[in-house]
Order: sequence, then C-alpha cells, then structure tokens
Amino acid sequence: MIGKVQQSNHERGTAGEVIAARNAVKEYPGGILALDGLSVTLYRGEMVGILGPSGAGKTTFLRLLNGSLTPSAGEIRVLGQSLKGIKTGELRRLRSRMSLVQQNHNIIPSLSVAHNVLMGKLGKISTVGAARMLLYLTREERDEVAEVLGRLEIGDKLFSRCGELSGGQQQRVAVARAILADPEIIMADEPIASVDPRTAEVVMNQFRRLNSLGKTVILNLHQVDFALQYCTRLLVLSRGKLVFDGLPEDYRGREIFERSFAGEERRVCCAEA
Amino acid sequence: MRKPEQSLDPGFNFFNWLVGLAVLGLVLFSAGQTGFSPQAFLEAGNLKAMGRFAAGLWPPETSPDFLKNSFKLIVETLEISVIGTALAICFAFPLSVLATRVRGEEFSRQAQGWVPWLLRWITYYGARSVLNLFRGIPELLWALIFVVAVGLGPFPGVLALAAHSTGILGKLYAELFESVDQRLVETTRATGAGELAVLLFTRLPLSLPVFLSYTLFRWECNMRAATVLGFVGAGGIGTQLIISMKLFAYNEVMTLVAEIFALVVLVDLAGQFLRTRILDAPSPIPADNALRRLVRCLPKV
Repeated sequence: MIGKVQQSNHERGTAGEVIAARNAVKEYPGGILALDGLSVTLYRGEMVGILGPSGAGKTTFLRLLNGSLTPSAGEIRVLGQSLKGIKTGELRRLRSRMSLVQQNHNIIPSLSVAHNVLMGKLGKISTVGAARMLLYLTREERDEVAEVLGRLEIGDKLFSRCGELSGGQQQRVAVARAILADPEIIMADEPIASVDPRTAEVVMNQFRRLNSLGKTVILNLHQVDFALQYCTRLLVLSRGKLVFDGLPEDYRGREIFERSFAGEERRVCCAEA
Repeated sequence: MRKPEQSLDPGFNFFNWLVGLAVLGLVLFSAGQTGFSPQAFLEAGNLKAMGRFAAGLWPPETSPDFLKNSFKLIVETLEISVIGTALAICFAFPLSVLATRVRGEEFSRQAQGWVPWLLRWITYYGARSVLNLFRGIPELLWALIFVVAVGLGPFPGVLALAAHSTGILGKLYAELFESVDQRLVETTRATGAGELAVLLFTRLPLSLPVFLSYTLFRWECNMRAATVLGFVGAGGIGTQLIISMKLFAYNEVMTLVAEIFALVVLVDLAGQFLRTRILDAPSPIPADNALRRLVRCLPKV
C-alpha cells in the first residue's frame, strides 16, 4: 500500500535519510521469520509510529536498527552508516547518537532514579567518568536530570530507588534516560504501554517536543489513537512485512489486512480510531 | 517472539532411569574401593585408642600462659582469614571480569569478524584457566608452596588463602555477572556504553547482594581453613594444634578445639547475620547512599 509519504520520499532520495532498510530479513533460530524483506527509509525530523499486532516484527525492527540484532539478509543503514560488519567501537559511537526505550522499562531497580537517567550518557563518557558518576554526581548533572524528570512530572523522585517506583513512573524514567542522551534518533518500544492516559499524553508530548527540535522519533505503539494524533507518518507491520506506509490521515478510515501469527487473515478498520 | 512450547509431561524416560542406576553404581563402587566399613569403629584396638584419646582430653588445659598464647594465635588466625579474603577479592574481581562471557548477536563471529572474536575467546578461556588453576590447588598445598617461597609464619598462610579463594571467588563473580538479565545488559549497551560501563551500571548493581553474600561466605570458609594452615607452618592456631597433637598433650588439644569451635561459631553467626541482612533488604544499597552514609560517619573537621 503506497501512500503519499512513499511517493514524496521517492522524490527526496537519500537527502535527510537517517534510517534505510533494504530487504531486511530476520529469522530467529527455529525458523521463525520475524522480518520478511522489509524495505523502508525514514527521514530526519519525522515522527514515525509503527503499528501492528504482537509478533508483527516491530520490536525486532528496532533492535535491528540499534545493532542488538543482526539481519539474516538485507542491509540496514543508520545515520549514513551500514550496520553490516560494523566494528564494536563504531557501533558504540553510533548508539550514542540514538536512544532506545525498550519494552518493560528495563531500568536497574537497585540504582537511584538519577543514576538510571544518567545511564543515557554512558555512550558519551569514559569508563572512569562512569565510575565517578556512580560515586558522585556534579551539581550540573543533578540539575540536568532534575530538569528532564520535571518535564515528565517525576522531578521529586530524583534520588528515589527505581525499584520502589510504580510501573508508570519506571516507564517515565526510561523515557527520561532517552531524552537526556540528547540523540539524533529516539526509538521507543511501546513507551506508553503501562501508563495511564494522562501520563501517556505527558510522555507523548515530550516525544513531540523532541521531534519539534528536529529529532527523528520512532515509536512502536499499540494505541492507534495516539499514533494518529501524534505521528507524522505511520508504518504498519504484519508478519514481518510492511503493509502500510503513509500519513495518518491516509490510514484513517482505511481497511488494512493484518495477518496474525496463527495464520488467520482479518480486516482491521481504522475508522473508529 | 515466542518459541514453540516444550511439553513438560515426564512420562517414562529410560535414559533418566539409566543415569540414576549409573550414579548409584558409582557410589557403591567408590565405597568398595575406599574400604568403607563402619565396623572399624568397633574393633578392639581402635576402641582402645579412642578411649585413650578421649580420656586425655579432660580436663582441658587452662593455665594462663597457655590461654594467652592460644588467644594470640586465634587472633592471628582471624587476621590471616581477613587479609587472605581481602587479597582474594582484589585479584578475583578483575579476573572475573575477563572470565565473564558476553552474549548477544553483536558479539558473534559473523558480526565481529575472526580476529576480535578469537581474541575475546582467548581472553575468556585464559582467565577461566587461571581461575581453575588457583581453585584446583587446595589451600594446604598452596601453603606448602608459599612456605618454601617466603618462609614460615602467617604470611604464607595469607597467600595460600588468597590464591585458593581468588580461584573460587573469581569463578563465582563471573557466573554472577553472566547470569544478570540479558535484556537489562542490552538496554545499557544500547546507550553506547562499553562493557566496563555495563559492568558498573548493570552487572554489578544487579548482582551486588549475592556478590556480598558469596564474599562473606568465602571469608567464613577461609576462617575455617586458616585453623589448619599451621599444620604446615603457615601460621595461626594450627601451629600450636599440631605441636600439642605430636606431644600427646590431648588436654591442650581440647582447649584449642574448643577455642576454634567458638571462633567458627562466632564467625558463622556474624556471616549469617550479615548475609540475611543483605539478602532480605528490600533492595541493595545504592552506591550514592553508601557513600553518603560513609561521609556522615566521618568526623567533622
């Protein structure tokens, strides 16, 4: 399904390209095909929402972009650099230019909120600096973290132990970590899955604010209404294939075929969203 | 991405039965080979020797000179165990870092290429081999080696405990660091962090309670081991124990054994108390809090 976005992107060529996947295939051991020849180009300043049923390959796609997984076939380029055969040092430098908020928050429960958030900077400082940060925080670091946490409405939790926070608060800590890293690309895997609707708006507004600062934001979402409201471009994956790539208004009211992992095909109507 | 589910229905498994029978056979065979015979206790000659030994134990030696000397040796034993454990931590930690296997597709040979992949495995197996060597030689044998190297006294005892415990703690630490939730490790790596930063911010905080518990337990073991190092001239209460045994001064042996028993019980209780406190805590102490508490304890100038 080719939308206006793809047509206009075709005209844009590689200018402003931040992510390009060419026939990316990811097959897990056991023959499970998570991504099946995905080709897509994402451009600087876009706020992309990736939709699709569980098991569609959304998380795999983000992990491939981050270099945590390697594609079984095809090529992935991030910020002009191919991930194929990339050296460890180069991959680290590349990662310091992008952030990934993973599913289930993945915070370190025994560390303070401040330390969990400052982990976003680990790619930009030396190991000695990291060790120092674990033992002592400078005034600037405290202020910086407090400012980001304040924007996410958990400024009072600066030195709370992360394990003692609620699920929604932990989710916001994970988002704060990504924001503090000040990356060019922010990727988030279901960042509002475990928060209440009001907090979801707070979090999504932060992503929108970052997007307005020129950063590329890629969000895996299950909430179609939020995707339609906040994203400038939508991708829909089903069984590892891209079944929709277009503007939110093109998605609205359209019936899209989704094929679940059970092999059933169903029509999904997006009009009600 | 879910993997196909595995059936947990046990049913009859011929292989499991075969393994069970083989283990039982091995136990019986070993008992036969080692001359295992409980009736040896009841033989007339042995009963007489045991009676003579038991009769000699009472009353225990309580002369002030002997008690003073033995107390000095008990303290020395404690000191050997403390320094030995401290040294072991210093050597075991860096070795355990090298002996921690890093997982993830980004570290595969296909992703990294032959040379980095090979270097990583050489480092890993090299560190593991060093730890195996340290662990494989018992404390008493290490003590004999160090007595030859640095002479008699508590110092070879310290080195012996440090060497053996380095092997044990290094392996335990490495296993702990490896067993940390891989998703959290991946999240930290996703920030661009190197493996040392991942260790500091993820592997260490997550494994800290068990890390401390293992270390305390090793100190308890070292305490017990330090009591016999004196048998080979490596200091501690064992030095007096072997002399008293050789002189058939069983009443002195009784006093020394009672002192050793009291010390071991005290150390066990202390270790148990601390380990329970650490493991039962709602979450481990974060470094910043620990530092603040430490600073608060310092005298104000």
